[in-house]
Amino acid sequence: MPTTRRPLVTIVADADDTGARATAQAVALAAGCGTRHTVWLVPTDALARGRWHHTVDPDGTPRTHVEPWPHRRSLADDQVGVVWFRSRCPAVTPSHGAGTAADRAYAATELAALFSSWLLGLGDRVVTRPEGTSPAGAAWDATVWRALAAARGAAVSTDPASRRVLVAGDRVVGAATDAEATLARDLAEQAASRCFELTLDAHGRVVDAGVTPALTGPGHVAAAAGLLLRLAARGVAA
Amino acid sequence: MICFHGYGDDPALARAVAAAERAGVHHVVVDQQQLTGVEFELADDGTHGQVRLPGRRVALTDLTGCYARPLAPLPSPDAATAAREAELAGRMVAWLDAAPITVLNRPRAMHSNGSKPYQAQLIAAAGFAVPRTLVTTDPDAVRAFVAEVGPVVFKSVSGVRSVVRVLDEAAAERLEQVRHLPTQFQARVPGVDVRVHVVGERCFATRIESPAVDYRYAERDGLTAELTACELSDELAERCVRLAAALGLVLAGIDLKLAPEGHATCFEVNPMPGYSFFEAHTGQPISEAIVQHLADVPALV
Repeated sequence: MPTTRRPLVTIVADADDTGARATAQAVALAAGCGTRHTVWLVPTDALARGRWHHTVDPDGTPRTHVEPWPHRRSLADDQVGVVWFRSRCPAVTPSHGAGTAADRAYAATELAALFSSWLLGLGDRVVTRPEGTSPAGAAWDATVWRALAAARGAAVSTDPASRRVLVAGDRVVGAATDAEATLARDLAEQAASRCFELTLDAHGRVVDAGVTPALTGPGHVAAAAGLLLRLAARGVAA
Repeated sequence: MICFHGYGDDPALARAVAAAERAGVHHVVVDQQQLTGVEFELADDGTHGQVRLPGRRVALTDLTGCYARPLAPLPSPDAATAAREAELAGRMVAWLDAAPITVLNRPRAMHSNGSKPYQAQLIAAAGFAVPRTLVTTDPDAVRAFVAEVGPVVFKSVSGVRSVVRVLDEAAAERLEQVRHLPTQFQARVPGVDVRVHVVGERCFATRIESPAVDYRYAERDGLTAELTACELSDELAERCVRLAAALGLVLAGIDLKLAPEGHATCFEVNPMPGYSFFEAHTGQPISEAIVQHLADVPALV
């Protein structure tokens, strides 16, 4: 196994996630180094096809060593600065591609369960706290987000979304009012996510929210990249 | 008024409904097996709306609690019916997650059980030992694990139900298969199985004596499982209550292994426990406790 330098920032994303790709490029540029050594954009399938060694001790201490496919580099716990897991697609390995639909569904569920445990073990080095069934974090229905927003006094709606507010750590991008920014921060905290998106209709009413922002709004990619660099720096310092 | 939701013939749900009837608690049952003529209307805010049942209409704001065991909608040969029932199920789950009432348990609180090693980390953080666990794609790592910890069992990583099996010689011959999918192995922990049902702050413990590796499937393997109600020490009972609360669960089925000297190892916390099996064998009033909790406890937001 060739020695690899610490990948400060690891983003796990689906192949069509342009927001993840743009953020990875922005991180690399901002860090002023070659992409390979500052940020690692890992396709979800490469993680699914990885070589895994994940343990949990009797006192709950987790340890993980994974070599994503094609197994040329590894991610051990002490190499990870920060991980942003953005994938929402079920991971399937080629071995299961030829199996039955039930086999594929089982494999995807098992892999998601492993990813979640790995990410939980990284503690505050993940952007978003995973759930047991969702490594990307809170996968709540729009109805739940609206209910949580309504409980905080916000107006809600099922009209089409026309605006996005992004929370990236301490920064809030796109909020029209302080109340919007506060609401977005509160919901992000409830979802245990440092990068969070609130979608609003044309009248500023909450339509939905989520922990894997599309990163299509002005300044969203820069804000996400800045967050990742700050977290990675903290992780390294720790 | 309290609500019950799930399959009407699910023993756990049916026992709780019967307990509500015995106690004279006003209730409504949204039976996933009897959805003809049932409507579930939910406002944009996710909390207001109503349930329409044949000959009956209940405002959601009149409900103070819900015991929910939502299962997959019944298959229907009629696509329109299947779509309608799937939509109703989705709305119901969203409401259960959002409603400002006591829910046993909110669907979003049940997710920790979707990953055993994930949940093990949370269980340990709540003060319980957990079995030594390895999830790997490397057969050699499994062999090294066995050499280090002794006998091991293997089971699913996720919440998909699987029969716990000992890694015996026959299974060891198939170890190469782990290269295709990460597989979970755990050190076997000696002791007696104890299932603890937590309902709010109450605990009901059942001791299970069985020669089977997985007592749930003892009969299938030609073996027996003897269930007896038992008492926990105050300290252990409190720890169980704290564990359930830490996972956001009002109702939980906690699987413990008690060593002869009393040390407890926790394997899993089931957020939708099939308590009826244990209640039927021991006479513990778990269904009564569920109804009491929903009917008496002030609403939790």
